[in-house]
Parts: sequence; structure tokens; C-alpha cells
Amino acid sequence: MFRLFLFLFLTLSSSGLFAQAPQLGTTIEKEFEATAVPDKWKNESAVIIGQKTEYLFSRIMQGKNPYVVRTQEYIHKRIKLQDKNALEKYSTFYYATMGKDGNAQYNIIKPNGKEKNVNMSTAIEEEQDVPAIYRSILLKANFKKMKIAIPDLEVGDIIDFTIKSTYDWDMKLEGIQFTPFIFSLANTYPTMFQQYRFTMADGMKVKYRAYNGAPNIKYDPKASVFGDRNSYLSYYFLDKDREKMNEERWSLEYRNTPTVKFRVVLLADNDEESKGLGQATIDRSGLLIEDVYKRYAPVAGQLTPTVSSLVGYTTEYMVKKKTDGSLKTDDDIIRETYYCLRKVFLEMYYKGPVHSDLEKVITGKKLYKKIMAAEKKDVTSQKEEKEDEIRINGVTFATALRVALAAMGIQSELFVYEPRSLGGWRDAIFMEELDYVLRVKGKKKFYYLEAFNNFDAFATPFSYLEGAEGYAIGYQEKDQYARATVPPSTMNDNIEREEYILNFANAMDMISVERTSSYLGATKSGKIEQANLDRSYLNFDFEKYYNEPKKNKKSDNVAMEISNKYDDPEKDERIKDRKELFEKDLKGEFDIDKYEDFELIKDGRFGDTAWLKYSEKFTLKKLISKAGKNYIVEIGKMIGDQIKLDSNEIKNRQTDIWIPFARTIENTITVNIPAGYTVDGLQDLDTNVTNESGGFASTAKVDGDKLIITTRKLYKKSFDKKELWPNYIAFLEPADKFSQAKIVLKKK
Amino acid sequence: MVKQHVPKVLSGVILSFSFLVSFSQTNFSDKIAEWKKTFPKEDVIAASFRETIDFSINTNAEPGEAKVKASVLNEMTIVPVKDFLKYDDGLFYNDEVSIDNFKVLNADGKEVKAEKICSDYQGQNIFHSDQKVCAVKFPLGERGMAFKYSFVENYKDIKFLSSFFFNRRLPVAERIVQFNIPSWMEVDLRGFNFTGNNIQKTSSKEGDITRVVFTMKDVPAYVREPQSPNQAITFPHVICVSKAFNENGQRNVLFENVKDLYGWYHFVTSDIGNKPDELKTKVDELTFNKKTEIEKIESIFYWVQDNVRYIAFENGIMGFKPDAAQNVFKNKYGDCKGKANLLKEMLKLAGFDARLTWIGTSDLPYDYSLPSLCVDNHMICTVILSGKKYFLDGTEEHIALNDYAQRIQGKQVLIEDGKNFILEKIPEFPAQRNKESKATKMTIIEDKLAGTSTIEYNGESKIIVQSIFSSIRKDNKNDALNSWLKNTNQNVEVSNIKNSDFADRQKPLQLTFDFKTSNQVTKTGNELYVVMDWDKEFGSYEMPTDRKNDYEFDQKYFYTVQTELAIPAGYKVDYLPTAFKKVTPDYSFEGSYINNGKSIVYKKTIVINKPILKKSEFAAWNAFIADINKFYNDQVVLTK
Repeated sequence: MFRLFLFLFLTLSSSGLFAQAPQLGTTIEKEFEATAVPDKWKNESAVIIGQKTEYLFSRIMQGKNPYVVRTQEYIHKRIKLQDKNALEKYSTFYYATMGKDGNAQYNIIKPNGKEKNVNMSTAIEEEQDVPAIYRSILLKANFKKMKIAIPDLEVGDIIDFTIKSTYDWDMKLEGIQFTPFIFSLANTYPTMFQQYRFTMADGMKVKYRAYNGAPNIKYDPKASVFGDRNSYLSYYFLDKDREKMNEERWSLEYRNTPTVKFRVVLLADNDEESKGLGQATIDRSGLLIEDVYKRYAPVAGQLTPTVSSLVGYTTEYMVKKKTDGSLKTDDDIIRETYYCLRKVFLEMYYKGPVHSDLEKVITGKKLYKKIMAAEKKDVTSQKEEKEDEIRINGVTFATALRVALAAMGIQSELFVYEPRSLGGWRDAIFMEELDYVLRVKGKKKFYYLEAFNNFDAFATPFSYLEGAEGYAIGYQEKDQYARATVPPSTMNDNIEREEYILNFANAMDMISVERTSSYLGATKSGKIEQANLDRSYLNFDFEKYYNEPKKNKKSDNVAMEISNKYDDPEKDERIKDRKELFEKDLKGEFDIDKYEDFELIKDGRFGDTAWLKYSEKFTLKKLISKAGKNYIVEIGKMIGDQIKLDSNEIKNRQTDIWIPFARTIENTITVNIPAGYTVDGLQDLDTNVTNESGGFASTAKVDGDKLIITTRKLYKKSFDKKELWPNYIAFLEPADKFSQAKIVLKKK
Repeated sequence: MVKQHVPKVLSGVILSFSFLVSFSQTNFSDKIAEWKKTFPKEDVIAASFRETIDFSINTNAEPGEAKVKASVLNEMTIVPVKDFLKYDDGLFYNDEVSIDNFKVLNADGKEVKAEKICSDYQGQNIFHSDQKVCAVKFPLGERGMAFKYSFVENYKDIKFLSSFFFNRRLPVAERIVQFNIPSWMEVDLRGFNFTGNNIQKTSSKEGDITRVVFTMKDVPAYVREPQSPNQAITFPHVICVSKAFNENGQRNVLFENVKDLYGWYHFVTSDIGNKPDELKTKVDELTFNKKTEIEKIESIFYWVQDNVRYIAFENGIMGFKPDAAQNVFKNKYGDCKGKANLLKEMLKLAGFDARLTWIGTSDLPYDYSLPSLCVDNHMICTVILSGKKYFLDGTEEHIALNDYAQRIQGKQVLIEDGKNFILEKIPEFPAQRNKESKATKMTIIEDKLAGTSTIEYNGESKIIVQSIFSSIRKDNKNDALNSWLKNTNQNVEVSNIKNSDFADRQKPLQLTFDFKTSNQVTKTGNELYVVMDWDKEFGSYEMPTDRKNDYEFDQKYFYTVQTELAIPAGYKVDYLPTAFKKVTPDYSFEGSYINNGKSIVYKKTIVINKPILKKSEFAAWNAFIADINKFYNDQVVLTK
């Protein structure tokens, strides 16, 4: 009997029925033996001689659970430290190893070739996260992290370390797709050799795409292991002689640098009875719209109690307004539905009983938060403590707005897109890359509506949506979808306008300033929350979109106080805080002596062209200097800091130009010329440069006792090819020069 | 022993009862308006915050275990002035101190479950220590409704009980630090920075216990601001010096004076386990061919600075005991103690009288008349050569022998001397040690100023440039040096930089460069308006009126500037700004313009003699800065 078993075993083994899984880290490429770096990189802080990340995905039986995939990761890095900065960076080794056979090794190769092994037993546990330079892709937060101070490490040494981990993945619990990865192959240091390798058991594939000159993935027959019943196929990509990351102004890393996207996917579950699990493959395909539809169409169809509350109230209001004739067009209905939903959402948040003195039990905000937390993509609960900017959950928004508009007879679509930082539609290979907004057709154009926060005006442009490509999914019939691109916003959509009136005060020591600032479109971001810190807008919203409560009707949904008022005991404090915040901001722009007043004129939250507008009064110092009986005024500084291109930027532009959004920046400066003085030095203040990418123009004229200066800077596009960089130099330089301009107040 | 404990328990009952009177109030709504005036911008106020310190004797102490322990009961009544905030706090502990009996009660007296996440805490530049922190977080209720928050810090060994600060991270209406001192315990309670703070001290006796209570009302929160001196320098605190305890009729001395403190330090450092033989080859190599004793010391001192990285291990006793010299030597890393000990052993091998030396840096306001572990925070090495003491700080990276960093200048040191010790003071240098002088010659070319400058850096100014330069990536060094010389002024273009040796510790560092600067010349008609000083040092150093803390400069400053502008052909001087001079004992400014016929010579000297500017001095300082700016904002006028 024993003989028979032995015979069978030998036969099966020799016939290759059960292929032995390959071992990671057994092959060390000759590139890892190098000790010298190319002359061109002698003056670099460090050089990555080699780095290799290797994965092995195999199937194992864990107890009675056949649905387990074992992932093994092996990282090998060899880096030459060429200065003190690199020495300090690598002088402590942080690592985490997962699994029983997890292991880390750290060796030092001295300039004389002598190799020293670091004794890893002196490592101590570390609770902080592993720094990026040592962090592995597979690392999970809940694994024990270690650190070790590297002994006898000096400039000129080569460090050579490996980290090996194993992680068992239960497909039933954790799904069949591993985390997708997107990264640039350009590193902080120049890299002589880098390789990524995936070895996979049958029934797996690696989704892979290379961009911007990154290498393609290849099949490696030599490293693959074949058996009759199962095999391990090995795929890899390698990259050599890669310069370090070049950081340029207005550059998007994944669109400008060699980038790869990859993810390992299980083709089928690991049912032992399952037949036909093919050998591991590479999948370079993009996304199928059918799959995108299947995944994203339900997003705007999640009818939760919150959605019912939002839609119920809004529909009641909208029907009332339509009936009384206040809403003339579809565009009016779309816009007012959006704003009314925002009001209900804000009321839930700010007037939920957790914020009132009356209720302490589970109602209002607390219930609302519970509902929201149950939904995916929950942003609200994360932002719970930042009370002056709260954004509605994307799913809730899309469903509520779509349903509320449908109730008014207007159809909308879910626009699923690839954010522009990641590429165009055809660059998308993972569902996770995609995002969505709601698209609604107005009379003249489509509105692309992002889930609102307290302040977003209707159809506010967002930088990530500029020219974004995607599909619009309709809800009137099954499988309704169509390709679409978000038109980029224009320089007329995004405007920043500042009007100054300057008077000389305090025996010509100071300049007293009245400034009115107006912002439209994307330029409001960063200002609007602060400008509305007093929360007066809530009173406006609550009053405008007020529905009289129906008597004796119990709500089954979210309980909340409904009234047309928002009483804020902290209002005076908020007004004070707002003034201080604007004062602080201004201190970043100018040397201020005194910040006197802030007044909000338009809150920037309503209408199709929702201007944010406010005025300020303050006194500036140091902009005026004495010169005998005359005074020099650094008038150019009033337009704020301008981009100063350094000589490298002027000479080279290596990557395409990704401006956040097209925009117009205007300044009007009225200087009241003090009695007894004339103005000189205006000759440098007249400029006009314009081209297809942008422009800068300025004028200066004396009108009676006033000097009136205007400037207009234009960014006409949100994208340009690198070849058009001279266009930017052409208008950025005169703008910078203007900002340094001075005028002379001459004693008559 | 039992006898000693009974009164403690009784007094505890009495004290707890008396505290309950204030601790029991839960509705402070009527106080909010008043507190908003006293503590503007604060969201949470402690109506009261009491620390009660009790001492106990460990009758069954195991060998190595301390005989006297202490506990500090922290009790806070926390009142939110806004609705439904969350309160968070960090509770620090280590191998010697545990946190126990953590409890939060809401306004109804019900216990509130607090989130508590405990983890290691590594302070700045500490690689590993036994310091830990528990981040606690709990929701507060409606405004005005008080939460009671309490916990106990248990000290296993009384020698680690030291400082009690009155200002904490939240404002306190009534701050109490109460010591319940049993008759068997001798403590010395020393107050620091009490002047100007209305702190009441009362003392009463209840049975066997002497109760000493420090009370301070309306204590603002301690806020970290940039350039703030260490809290110990300016904020009021009490240090508990545990002098001795009596047991079974015998008086046992703890830290009665510096001799006792040194005794413990000497004990801890007596068995480091140094193996000097392992250093011998390196010491021989470093001292070979060195002609003088000073050269030998320099060679060893500079090698340690250049080759031993600073990595600090401060877990348990390692916070006081240096790592063995051979370990630091082999590892090429160590903390101040390890580096001091390595220096000592290497210098001893080279035949010098080298000793471990304890010191409190400028962060601490104490000297060794305070026999407490909080008196010092640093260790260096002292070499005694021909009767002269040289203090070697191995944690410095660019300091010369016989030169001392600002942070240790003028500080008292405790030098080992077998069973005895030596008290000495590190020399203190005037601002001139840090002299930074800039000499410039320039001409007007079209609308630009162009010329050559030479800057010479000394002392701390030099060390700062060296440190920055050495820490910057090799590939960014040129750009960084260029930016440094431009002084972030985008109008300036710098070229042709020449430098003396950045690694030279003895000689001043000299940087020479050509420059072109735009927008400093304004031309109108026949006139040229010229800005001859665009650096305008200290022009923006006005202290904000709402700053909470004193301001600590990085160093003492001594700037001199001499700029010569050639008068362009065809032009003559129409106007020169009036000279300005203001001299105070702590700081001074002197600036002038002189017409030499062919050129204008601008001279400026700025001296800051005192590194800390007190809040009470801000008004005078701001007036000084306003005067400087008036001088700066005046320009030269040339006419055809």
C-alpha cells in the first residue's frame, strides 16, 4: 500500500499536475548588485539603484473555507545615500510585516564594498504610521509596525532592504477585487532600475494600463510555473534610467508623468468544483459602459427616509410656487428645486434637536445622522464637527434632486465621469476612479450639479469637472446612456474683482483703504464660507422656502423643528470671528495697521450669476515711503502678489499646462491725490498683452484729483499644450512687473 | 506606620467634603456672560481645576522600589459656553507615573463614557521613550451645564514628582494646587514666576497633615505660539522638592540639596559599562599628528559632531543613564548623554581630564540651588585642561571648541568629581559673538541696482547658515543658497556666489556674490528715487497686540551693514534721509547716509542683546520698530 502511494505521489509530481507556487525574492536581478551610480546623478541627494515590488497571488484552503487568496508581497530597495539629507531620511527604518513568514532585512554596503547586516532584533514597536518612503502597498493599518535606528550609517553608504509579507484574503468577506493602484514611476530620487511583478494562480488577471510613456506589462514565461491542474503565470513591467519627479507649476502628476494603473482581479470564486478557471492574464481593457451603467445607475435611485423628507417638503414648496406663477421656466424650476432642497438639508443639520435647547432624545439631527451613516459615501458625519461647511451625501443629493425634479416633470441624468486629474474617459480602467454629478437640461445648456454644501450656488463650476469626460445615465428607460463632456467654464464664469479707494492718512504715513471685493463662480471657493460665517443666510433660506406646517400631521420621517427663523445665540460672536478671519487673511496680503470694518453685501449663494460681494475698510502701512518732500507709493502691490517665474521656468516647460479653471481678475484702484501734490511715474502703468492663453492689461489716468488705475488679468483656458508656455510668460511677467510699480506724489 | 495613615484618610474625607461644595455646582449659565469677558474666544472653561497631592510611604518596598510615593488627584469642573461641544484632553504618563480612576460625570451626575485612545508619545527629537499619552474625548452638554472630570496620577517614586503649572490648556476660573503634607514628610514648595500673578498661599494644619494651598483666580489658558519661551521661563508654577521622610524615628534624606541630587546622578552613571578599548584605534587615529592638546580635543570633539547622529532613547532609567560609549561609537548615533559619555571616554583615552556634566538649557529658569530632577534637561562633557574648563556639547553640529551655543551660555553646570561635584557657569557672550556684517558696493544701471556684496557670519548666525546648508538636499543646495541670499526678495537676482568653507568651525563664514535688484530705483523726470536698503531687518518684527506669550528670538543679534552707492554721472544728491539712532540696554539701532561726493555710504547697526522680549516690553519694542520703519521708509533722491 505504501508503495502504491509513493508511486502515485511521484507520478503526480513528475507529471506536473500540481505546480509548486513560486517563491518570492528568489531571483535577484543583476541590477541590484550595482554599487556605482551614473555620473549624471553624482550630485543628487540619493539614487535608487534598484527597487522591485513583487506579488504572488495563490489560492489556499483555510480550514473549510476554500475562498481564500493568499497574497504575498516582496519589496526590495537599494539606495545610495549621497548627502546628509538622505542619511537623516533613511537613518530610521520603519516597517511592518504581515503573516507568519513576514520578514524584514536591512543591509548596509560600505563604500569599500563591505556589507553589514543590521540586527533586526533591536527593533521596537512604533504606533505612528509607516512613512511613505518605506510604506508598502499591501500594508494594512491594523498590523504591528516597527522601527529601528540604523547603526553605523554614513553618507556614501548604500542601503539595501527587503520587506516580505503575507496576507490572506477571504473573497467572501472582502470581495474579489484587490485595491486599485495608480502611481507615477517618477520618484523623489532618480531611479536606475525598477520592476513590478505579479505572479498569479489560475482564475486571476491583472488590469493594467501604462500612460505618458510608462512601460507596458509583459508576460515572463521563465518565471511562470505550469501544471496540468494549476499554473502560476508571471507578468512584470520594468523601467530604467528614470529621472526624479520634476515639479512644475500647474501640472497634474498622472497626466504629465509616466504613470501606471493596476489591480489584481479574481475571475471567478474558488469553488473547488468550478471548472475552466483559465490561466492568469493581463487585461488592458477600459471600462464597459454596460458595467458602468449597472454600477452607477442605482446611485440616483436610493429612496431613504432622508430623501423622502427632502423631496416631500421641496415638492410641496415647488408646487405652491408653480401654482402661484413665481416659476416661469424649467430653468427656474431646476434652480429653485436645488435651493429648496439645500434649505431642507440645512434645516435638518442646523435645527435638528441636537442643536436646540428643547429636545435631547433621538430625533432630528441624530436620527438624520444615523440614516446618513448607513449610506455609502457618507461625507456628512465625517464633517460633523466643522459646522460651517457641511456637504450633503452624494447619493442622497442625486436621488433627491432627480426625484424632486421628476415630480415637477423635469427629467435628469446621472453624469458619471473620470476626474480630469486622472485622465479622459478612455483612460479610466477602474470603477473607483469615477465620480458623478447630476446633469439637467436647461433651455440653453446642461447644468452639472454637484452635491451642495451650505454655500455652493446653483451650477457652480468645479476644477475637477473642467472638461471631464463621461456618460450621462438616464432614468426614463432601461439602458439609457450617452457619452458627454462637461464644457470647461470660461473666464466670464469665474471672475475676481476688487475695487479700491485709497486716501492718504496720518501725515502721509498710512493709506486708508476702502475695498469692495466681488467673486463669481469657482473664485468664491475659500472666501464664501468665511464671508457667511454669521449664518444670516440660514434665516434667508428658512424664510424664503418656508412651508406652513400642516396641522395634526405626524411626520414618519426625520423629526425637526420647522419654522422660518434661525435663532443663533452665537451670532454676535460669529460676526466678530468673521472680521478677525478677514483681518488675518489681509495680513497675509499687506502690512496692515488697522482693520476697521467688514460688511457682507451679497452672500454668493443664489441665482444663476451668484456674486459674492463684500466691503472692507482698513489702513495700510509701509506702502508709502518718504523721499525728501515727495512720497513714493508702491501702488502695484495693491493688485496682490503675482506669479514670479524663475529663470528655470522661463527657459523650460516640460509638461502640459493644467490651470485649475479659466478666470478673470480685475482691479480698479482709485487714488485720491492729496491736496498740494501731483502724481508722477505713470509711464510704467500702461500695459496690454493678450494672446490665446491669457492676457494682462493695465491703464492709469488722472481725472481731476483722482488717479484711476485698472488692471485685468485673464486666464482664458484651463488647459494648454506645453508648447504654448511662452504665451503664459508673455502675460505673467508684465503682471509681476506691474505689481512692483511705484508712483511718486510730488509736492507742488 | 498605621498611625501615619489614619489622619491622611480623615483629612481626605474632610477635604473631599469641602471640595464637594464647589464641585457639586452643575449649572453655571449665569456665569457665562462674565466668563466671555474674562476669557474671550474660549469655548470651554474650567469653573475649577484642583490638583490635590498626597504622599504615602511604602512600608514593604522591594529592593529598587521607592519608599515614598505620591498621588495627584486632578478634579475639573468643565463648563461649555457653547452647546454640545466635544472636549478632548491628553493625559501623559510613563513607567513612573500611572493614570488611574479616570471618570467623567455629566450635569445629572451620571457617568459619561469617554473615548480613550492610549499610545506611545514621542516628543520632538525623541526616538524612543516610555512616555505615553491617552487621548480622551467626551461630549459636553448644553452651554452652562458642568461636567466633572477627574483622574489620579500615581507616582511610584516621589523623586519624579516636581512641577505644578497654574496655566493649563483651558482657562480656569479657580485654580487650586493643594499639598497634603504628612508630618513624616519634609517638602520644600518653591514658587516660580509668581510676581505679577495673584497667587494666594495658605497653610493650615489638620491633625497630622499640613495643608498648603495655592490658589489663583481667572487663569488664562496656556496657548502655544511661535517663538514662545518654554513655559517654565514665564508661567507661574510650584516645584515640590522632596527633601526627606521619617520612618521609624529615622530621617531619610531624598533631595535636600544639590549634593543629594548629584549623589543619585553619580549612582546612575556609575555603571554605564563603558569599554574604552573599543574606542582606542579611533582615538589614536584622531589624535595622530596633532601637535597641541587643543588640537587633539578639537579633533575628537569635531569627529563626534560630524559622525554621531542625534537619536534619543529615553525609556525609563535611560532618560538619565548614558548608553555605553562603545555602543554610541559603533552605532554612530546617540542622545546628549550618549554623546557626552562618548566624548568623555575618548578624551580620557587621549589623556585628558574629561567629565560628565549636567546642565539645564536656556529653556529652564533654574540653577542647582533647586535639588530636583527638573533642574536640568541636558548633558555635556567638560574637559579640564591646565585649570581651564572647556564645555563640549556633542549634540551641536557646527560649534567650535571654546564656543558655546546660545542655549547653554551663562547656565550653571554640575560637573562630576567622583563622590563630589563641581558647580561652574558656562561663559556668556555678548551679541557681538553672532555678528553678521554685510558690505556692498553698487551702481545704478538703467533702472536697476547692481553690485557685489560680502556677508560675514559669526557665532549663532554662522551656525544657522551652516545647519540649513548641510541639511538641504545636495541637488537643491545651490538654489537654496541663492534664495537665502535673496532673502526671499523676488526683486533680487543673485549670481557668482563664492563661499568660504562651510565646514570650518573656527573661521567666520563668508559669502560673496553679485546681485541685480529691480524696483529699487524709481525714475521720474530728472529725479531718481533710490531704496538703498531692501532687507529692512526687523522692520516686520512688530509684536501683535493679541500675542499671549513673551517672544523669544532665535539668538542675540548684531547686524552691521555698509552699502556704498556710486552716484551716477550727471546726477547729484538732492536728498538723504536723516540719520536715526536709538539705544536701549536691550536693543539698539543706528542708521545713517553720508554723501562722499562720488558716492553715498549707508551704514546700519542693529543689536539685540536680550533673547527674550517680555510682554510688558512689547509697547516700547513696537515704538522702536515704528521708528526703525520710519527710517527705512525714507529714500535717497538724486537729481540731474
